[in-house]
Amino acid sequence: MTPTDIKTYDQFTSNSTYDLQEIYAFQDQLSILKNQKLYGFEASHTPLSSTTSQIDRIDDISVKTINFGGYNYLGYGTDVRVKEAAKEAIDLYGLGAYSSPVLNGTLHIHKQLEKKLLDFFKLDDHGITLFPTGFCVGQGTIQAFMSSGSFIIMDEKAHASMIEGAQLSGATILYFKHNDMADLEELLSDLSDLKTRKLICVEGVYSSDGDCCPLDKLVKLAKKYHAYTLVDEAHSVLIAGDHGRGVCEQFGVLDQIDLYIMTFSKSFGGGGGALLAKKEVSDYINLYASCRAFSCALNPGLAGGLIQVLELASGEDGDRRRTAIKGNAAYLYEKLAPYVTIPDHKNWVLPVIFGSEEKAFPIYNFLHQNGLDASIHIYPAVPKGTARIRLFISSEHTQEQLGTCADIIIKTARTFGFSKQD
Amino acid sequence: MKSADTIPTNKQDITDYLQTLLAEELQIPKNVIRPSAGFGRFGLNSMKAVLLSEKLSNHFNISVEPTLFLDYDSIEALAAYLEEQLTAL
Repeated sequence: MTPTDIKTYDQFTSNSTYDLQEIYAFQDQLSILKNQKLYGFEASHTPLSSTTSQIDRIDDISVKTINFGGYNYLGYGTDVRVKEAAKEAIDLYGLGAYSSPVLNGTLHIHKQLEKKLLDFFKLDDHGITLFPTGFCVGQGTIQAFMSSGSFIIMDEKAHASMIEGAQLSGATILYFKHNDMADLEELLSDLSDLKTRKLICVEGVYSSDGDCCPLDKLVKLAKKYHAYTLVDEAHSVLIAGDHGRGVCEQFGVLDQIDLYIMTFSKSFGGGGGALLAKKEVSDYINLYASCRAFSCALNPGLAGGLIQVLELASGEDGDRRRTAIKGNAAYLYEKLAPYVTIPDHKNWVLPVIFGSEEKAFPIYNFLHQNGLDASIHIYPAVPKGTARIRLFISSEHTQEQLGTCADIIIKTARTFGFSKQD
Repeated sequence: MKSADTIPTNKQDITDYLQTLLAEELQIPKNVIRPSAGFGRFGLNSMKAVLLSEKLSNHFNISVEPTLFLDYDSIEALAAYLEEQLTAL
């Protein structure tokens, strides 16, 4: 198949006609990709270890791979102590929470998790709002905190969950250039005469590019222009900062952020998420975040496992893994930098940009066939023409696995024409 | 459709019209809509782009495609294009 035969995501977006044309067109495209043995999305993954997987694809391709496509950054999701704690919680509480956390779904183990999180962050006047999914944290927090007539000033690369929360809130949304504090100040200055609520939304480590927001500068601007701040630490909590309290800790502004949000699906290796905010704010969001109030509470098995993760991550075990992941990221960067264009931040989210969306499926297939699982990122998750392979580095990757990963990426770059040395 | 004498045809007036239109349609204070700003700043999605292109088409009495908001990276760049189109009429 030539790359021009492959259509991109935006060519199948829904429309208002009765005939479901886009759904059947997408099905045709899916059939072509499956017949050509090029469809790596929605594949079934079976972990063989914390860093390797058996992949059985829906186009009947089966491969064993090194896993650089999952978010199990610190390996806690597959740690035996964490799994045992989750099992014990299920034995005690059952499989689910069976109700909204507002009504009857808040279990004793949820309160234990909240306390453990507060102990971890050491912010006495704060509270925790638990959410059933990571996406729901950004969406629900912003939807509840903001409303029509207020302004949300968002980094242009902010996650879809924040954008959807902003849209649900009814507030006016304005975007500033990625990590450009001068552009942010221009917007804040233009809005300075308005006495309405303003919220700046950013990520600690950006999920697409892996770079950090300069939170020290951002907090100064927020104070100068009387804006509230929201930081999504989905890709940085437990990893960044000396104690794993995130990029907010790294920049020394943890106690100055109004809304600190995190997911448990990445460095925690579980699922769900939480808001950390002043107690009175957290109490309010508990009730007014619709996706929380109208969902079942976090399942107790997850809560039990997450408590154990916090126990480990707050001690020497966490220190060791934080050091290892940063060392692994630097090592892979050094291996790849001469051959492919990559950012120099040396963080654990490492994007290798190949550009054209049409190459995405052939490249994903090529990676699988060579024994590497990575995350393929295409429009609308990233701007058109900036499609990329995202490599998620773990503290648990061995040096041999990092070397093999680099070799496969370099081979892929040479095959598909995005090597620096071509 | 407007009468010819109410249609701005120079870049400055067109820029001002675009700022006013965006402010009204997107509920954004006009002073925030700087001529140098890209349309991405206002989260312009495809539905809004269609709506705005229809308004521009009706106002200027020329064909304005929604894709122009992607093709031109600022209000003043789009205004320059519209000026060129209107001058050529």
